[in-house]
Amino acid sequence: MSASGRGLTGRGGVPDCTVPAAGSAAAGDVTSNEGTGVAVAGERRSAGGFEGAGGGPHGEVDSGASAGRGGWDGRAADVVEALCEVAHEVGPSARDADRGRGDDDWPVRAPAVRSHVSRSPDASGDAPGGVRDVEGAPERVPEGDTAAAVEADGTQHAAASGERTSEEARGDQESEKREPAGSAARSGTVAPRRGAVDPVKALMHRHSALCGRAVDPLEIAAGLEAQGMTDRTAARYRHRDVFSLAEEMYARVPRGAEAEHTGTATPGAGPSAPPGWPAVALVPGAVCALGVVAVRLTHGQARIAAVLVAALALAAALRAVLRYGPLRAHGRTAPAARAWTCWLLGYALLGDGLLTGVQGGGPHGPWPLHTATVLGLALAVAPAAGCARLFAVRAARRLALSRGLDEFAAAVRPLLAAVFGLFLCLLCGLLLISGELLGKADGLIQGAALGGALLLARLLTVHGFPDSASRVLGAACAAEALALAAVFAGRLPGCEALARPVDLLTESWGAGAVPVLACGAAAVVLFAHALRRLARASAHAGAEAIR
Amino acid sequence: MAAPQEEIGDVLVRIGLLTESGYPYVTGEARLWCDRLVRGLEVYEFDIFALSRSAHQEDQGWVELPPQVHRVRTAPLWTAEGEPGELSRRGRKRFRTHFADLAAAVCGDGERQADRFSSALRGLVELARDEGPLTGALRSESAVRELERACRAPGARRAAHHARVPDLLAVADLIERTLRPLSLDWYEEVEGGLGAVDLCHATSGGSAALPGLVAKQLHGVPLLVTEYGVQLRAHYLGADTEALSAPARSLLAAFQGRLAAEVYREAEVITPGNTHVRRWQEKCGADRDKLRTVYPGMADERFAVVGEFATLGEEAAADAGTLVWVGRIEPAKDLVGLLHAFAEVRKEAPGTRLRLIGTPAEGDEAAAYLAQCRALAAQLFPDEAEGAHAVGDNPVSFEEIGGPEIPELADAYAAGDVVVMSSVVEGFPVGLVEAMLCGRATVSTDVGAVVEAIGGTGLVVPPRNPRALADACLALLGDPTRRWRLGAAARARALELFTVEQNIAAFHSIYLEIVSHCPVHREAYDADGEPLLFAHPAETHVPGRPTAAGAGGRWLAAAGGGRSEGPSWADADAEAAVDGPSDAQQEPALVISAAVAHGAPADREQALAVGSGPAPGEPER
Repeated sequence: MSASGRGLTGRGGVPDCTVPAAGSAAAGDVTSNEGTGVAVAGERRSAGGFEGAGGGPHGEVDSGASAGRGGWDGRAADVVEALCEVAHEVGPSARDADRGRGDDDWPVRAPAVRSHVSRSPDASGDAPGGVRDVEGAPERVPEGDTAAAVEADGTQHAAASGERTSEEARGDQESEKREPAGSAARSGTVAPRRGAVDPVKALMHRHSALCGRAVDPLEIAAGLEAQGMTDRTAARYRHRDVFSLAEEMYARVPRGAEAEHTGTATPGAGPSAPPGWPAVALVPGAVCALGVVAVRLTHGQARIAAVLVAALALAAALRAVLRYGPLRAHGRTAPAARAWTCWLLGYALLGDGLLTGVQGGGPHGPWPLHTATVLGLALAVAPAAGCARLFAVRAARRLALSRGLDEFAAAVRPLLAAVFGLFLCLLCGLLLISGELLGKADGLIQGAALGGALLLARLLTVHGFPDSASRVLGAACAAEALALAAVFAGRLPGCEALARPVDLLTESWGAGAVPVLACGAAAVVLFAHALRRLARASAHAGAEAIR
Repeated sequence: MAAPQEEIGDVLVRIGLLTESGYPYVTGEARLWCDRLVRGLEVYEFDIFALSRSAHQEDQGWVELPPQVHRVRTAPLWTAEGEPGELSRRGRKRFRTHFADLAAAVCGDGERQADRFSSALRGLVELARDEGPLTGALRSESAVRELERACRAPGARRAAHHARVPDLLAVADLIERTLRPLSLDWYEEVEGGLGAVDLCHATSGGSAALPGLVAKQLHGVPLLVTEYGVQLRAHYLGADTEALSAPARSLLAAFQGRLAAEVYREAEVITPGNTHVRRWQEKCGADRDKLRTVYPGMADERFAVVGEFATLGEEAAADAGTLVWVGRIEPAKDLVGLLHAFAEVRKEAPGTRLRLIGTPAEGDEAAAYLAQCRALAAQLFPDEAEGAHAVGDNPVSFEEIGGPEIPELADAYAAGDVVVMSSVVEGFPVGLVEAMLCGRATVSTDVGAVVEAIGGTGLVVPPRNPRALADACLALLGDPTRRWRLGAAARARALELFTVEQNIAAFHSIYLEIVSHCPVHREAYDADGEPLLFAHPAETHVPGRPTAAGAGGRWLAAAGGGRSEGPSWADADAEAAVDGPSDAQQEPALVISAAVAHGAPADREQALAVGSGPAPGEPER
């Protein structure tokens, strides 16, 4: 019985009924390369991730009862006992019959001894979710394969519940011969075979990607059918139809790894912007600078022409920026917002001079233009685009990392404030520079308020709230227009009182106070609004979905 | 528009045909079937309500419409129509309530959630009717917030707990897309609205059936759902959810599942295209009493000549057999296996030829596969010639339809003694049915709906088993009489089950049954627009047949109870109950089920894989 002895050593130290540590990635890998020999099993053991829940890394399986100590739950142990009973009923004769033949076949068989280590959901061993295989799972022999397939046995599908397994065992006494692992090891077996011992497990291995990503049994069923599985094929796995096979497979997928997988979120790259947008964003500043130079160099009729041409060129450049790059609004836009913006910019250019002129009884001829403010604002288009991009990217990243809507809102509000503050700093710097260059440094606050309001309005439009942005800008326009109208109305006899508030304002703060108040108020309202609206996750979803 | 040629009873029966990305668009999916249906059923008036999937599809235009198509209304599903209107304050509150229910039903597990989903959907339908489009509300933050709350609630499914903000957004977005039909303006009860039709026929599940649900709820219009492929299954296999995370996919799958169940629940009758679809529908919760399998119809005229003249003498005269394979060349067809099987055949029957007739499918993979098959064929089978001075030829030939030898499809089937099908994946095997119509004996693999289509009129072997395939081919090649008998039986079966006529006849009678049993009760108005009292006699409110089975007086319960005198259309449930061809003769449509059960003329030809899985590798018992 030397061959038999070899069989014993070959099968000794069965690394079964071990429960890998929950969620251990190493354990996850173990099953996927199904071992073909004891050597492999040894390797695996040294690879770690083999912590048995109850009884050490690997329990020797001499009988089902001892297997029960090795980390199985009581139900599984019952099943093993049931199996043993069945096997004892069937066993002896089959074993005897096989022993004679088995001796010859041992050299062939020995390398094919398999050790199965299966993953189970977690160390606590929740029975419906996992399977524990002991050496040589109950061979599910295809019917045609009747070549006296006596297989070392001792595994069961905890997933398929003890009842089922024992039922099966009884039902299949004729076609399958089962033996407890220990006695099988002594008896030795033949039947060279290609498949794994547990066909469902082999199937799961083959479709591991499908099983891994499936969210419910029907998805596995759909995937299996798409690869040619039919109810007839499922019958080979002892299932009535593909659905019940899929249910078993779904139940047997280890879940520990999945939770870990979903636990890490990968921040996306954020919404994509078209290439070259920074260059486009610089165009308005350049156009405006050229226009200012042209206006400075020309006089009379030519100056008016230069102003008109520069205004048209600037409008075209602004339009390009709003259509290309981070300031582009993918959803709806409010057409009125365009008119309000033009009015506000026009007032920044002309308004102060006009107001002063009107208050002085004029205007007497052409009044001075506030080119410094407009130049500063035009130069600030590029930082505005940059800030919008920064906000979109950062918000998208926050979105990907957030677990809840409140968490996201709490993260986005400071981001918005920081981005807005950054823009205001840049804007002030540019306004100062342009003021220095053009020799007029009085439009700083006015320009900052207007620029801030415009950026916030655009951000709101970009993220899907064009109406409110448009309304606030409209209100600012109305305030400025009202101031001018009040001053004009003050000239009417008996209506001097109408012009009093504006006169008081300009006396104490200068003509720039009107736009500062109007735009500043608009900016504050818009900022409060943006803090509320842009902190919503849905504001960032639409843009991402469309892009 | 031309008036319908005929009226049924005294009333004009108007069918609302609901399609999604299908008829009447030129690029539509099931347009051929719908076109045949509409043309074949002249006695009805059709209003077509089509949802389009892309701008490209809309640009491609429509197919030519027959006169019985009264009106076509289209709506895009790919873009939200118009401005998202704001709901009133009360409307927003209602929306939150209903959407919270919907989200809870999607996130939760258990039986009761189906009812919850149903009532939430009904609430949304009513809200859309009262307040206009829901698009804005479905995209709003409150929808996402309700979804989040449902995910975090105790009792929510496990995957939902792990949902992150991007998952919530993705789910809310896809729910909004799916529910877009709720916001359409199709549902008035005036001429041209869905409220004015007598029957809604949805040509697929999912979004296409949603307008039917709304019409049923608002106006009591009965709904008929036809599915040739299951939407839920397509959703699982679809690529559009591939990039999403597990929680998002889990929630979406749950949503689609609930929606499918709701559609099946509300439908009066569901007609799956084959047993495979039927199984899925049952799995998704369709009531078995409502399911009537209606096989797709195929134009049989072009195969008539080949089929009629397939005689025993002609075939017996052929000395060396020819195997023919027809189809699109792609990996799922397992031509490699076929070539290996043919190698086995050649060992036993040298001189046999194999003709592979078809075109490579689009894509690099298919082209590479074709090249691989050609290389394998050249490797396995050296060229051979008749004599020392003749030019040799390979026993395996790759051909295309349209060449001088095979001008048409029917000639492709006529070219062979045995038609082989070696697919490992197959839906409804169109090629196999064509071969059957041509009266050819077939050997096919047991995949998809093959066994169901072939019945007992051809040999079926397990997939990926060249040995079994070869054995089956050899058995047929060596027995011309059996071949002829099988071919004749196959043609008879195909003519019985898979013709356009049977398809149209089945739908005709289903329409009649539904319209007669579930009439739409509409208020009648006189010329001044005043409601007309007693316009409908009280009898019209009594269900069509007095039912003992209760169930709210549903006629279907009655139909299920008295199956022997049951509805005259195809009823695969009745397979066992129908006991012979004599019944089938009397009730033409019952032939379908009768033939399924008894369609095997030769008992010995029982398909291998029918029943409880015989041994693989054994072609026949």
